[in-house]
Amino acid sequence: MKDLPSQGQATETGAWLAASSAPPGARTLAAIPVRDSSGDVESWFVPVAIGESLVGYVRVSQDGSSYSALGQGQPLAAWTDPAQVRQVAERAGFRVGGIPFLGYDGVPARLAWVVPLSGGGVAYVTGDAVWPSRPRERTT
Amino acid sequence: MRHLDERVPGIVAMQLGALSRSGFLPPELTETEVPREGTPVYDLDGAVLFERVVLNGGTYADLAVAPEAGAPLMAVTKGDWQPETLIEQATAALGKHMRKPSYDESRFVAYSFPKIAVQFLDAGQEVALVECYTGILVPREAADDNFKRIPFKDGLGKGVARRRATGFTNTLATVPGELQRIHRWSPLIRVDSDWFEPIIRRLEVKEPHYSTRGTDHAPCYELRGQETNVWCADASVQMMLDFYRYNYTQDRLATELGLGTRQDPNGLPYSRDGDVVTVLEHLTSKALVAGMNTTPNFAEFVTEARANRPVISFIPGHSRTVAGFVNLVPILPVLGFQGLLVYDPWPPNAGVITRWENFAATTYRVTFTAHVIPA
Repeated sequence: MKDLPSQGQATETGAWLAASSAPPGARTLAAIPVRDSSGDVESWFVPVAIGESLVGYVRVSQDGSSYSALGQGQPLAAWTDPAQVRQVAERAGFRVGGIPFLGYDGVPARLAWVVPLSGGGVAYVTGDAVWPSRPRERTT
Repeated sequence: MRHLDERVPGIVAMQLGALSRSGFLPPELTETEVPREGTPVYDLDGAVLFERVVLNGGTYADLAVAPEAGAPLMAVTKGDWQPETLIEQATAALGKHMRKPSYDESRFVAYSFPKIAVQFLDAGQEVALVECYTGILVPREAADDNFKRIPFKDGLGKGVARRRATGFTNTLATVPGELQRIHRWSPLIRVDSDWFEPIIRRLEVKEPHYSTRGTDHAPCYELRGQETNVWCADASVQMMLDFYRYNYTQDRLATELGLGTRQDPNGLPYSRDGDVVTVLEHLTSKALVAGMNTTPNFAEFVTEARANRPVISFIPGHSRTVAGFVNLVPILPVLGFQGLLVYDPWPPNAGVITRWENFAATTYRVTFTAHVIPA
């Protein structure tokens, strides 16, 4: 297994892959770390945007990179700005107890912002969708 | 002074060409010659670690000198590499940190690979180490992990370093001969099909078409985002049924699969994986014959995609569909790649189409296939 690239490398890789895969006019932003439940960086998320809409992303991991085109554009800030993520969670009635970070719900394929709650536990946010964590042994 | 082994540029040219030919790198590198020398970048122990060569105006590559790198091509990067400018910037930064520094040599050092700094030396002794791009002085000892000096080889550990060195040596010993034998030994990056014909045993890319005729229009397969955070199996079944023109809502499919309601949704328990088969057949009045495979393999994805059929793919904790693949089979395994075209219902209400998911790096738990019974 290769080493995880640095943030700078991931950003460059994302820009490069997006140049050949993303729609015309798209731009890439700096790579955001995707953290596992222990806080370690599992991979990098390079947002690909047109205007203020997230249209896709490049995921850069130890095993390589791939470009993912979103089926529908998402508000860029809801995927890149922890303060915005916090607001989304609070609007949904959750009492936020920490700084949100990009992670995943259960498995790495289910990218989501992880929002620590004041009473313990976490909630997940993807765009305007919010839900609490729940026990898993299911395909979701 | 040359540091690179003379065989490295030819091997790297072939690797970059294969990656461009396969669509994993942009095509701008075509006909570019991989230089035999570039800017040497040293390890902290004073040995040259790699040479950074400019491939064209906007791309550079790191070519290994130290066998412990493990492979001739360490990295290829989109961006400018302007060593003279970086030296000037580092010199200016040094002037801010030290009054009248005295040195007789400067060179690039990977002080914590891939972090690069300019090392200023006087009679072979370090005067200062200035990080490129930031101009920050790298201390000899640092509590801050961001500025710790980590020698490349020491950072690997002895076992890994030995294995990598052996792999590097073997590659240099065998690959040039193989390429010379088929008259494909060149420092030029080529991407034309004639060039690759004897090198790539097979390059097959398949995406869903209206029929099994490659000339028919594509795509004819639609992405569906899951409509709750736990309805990935639901959305995956929807994608497959949509492909066969059976249009069901995710609410209806949730009822069939026992996934609750939109207000109180739940995922599909592992113990009920088989329900997917039942539902696919039931909702098509058995016009579709569905199957479940608990030992997924790349060949199955290939077979289904060639037949123009999507596959539902369960990975641990999640479900997606796969509707295509790329399979690069070269004469040299180092150039190979197997990737899947994944229609993933995540994130909710959007979904993503990912190309290409590295098959070798993903755990596949269960697959579900479906096909129409011919008359």
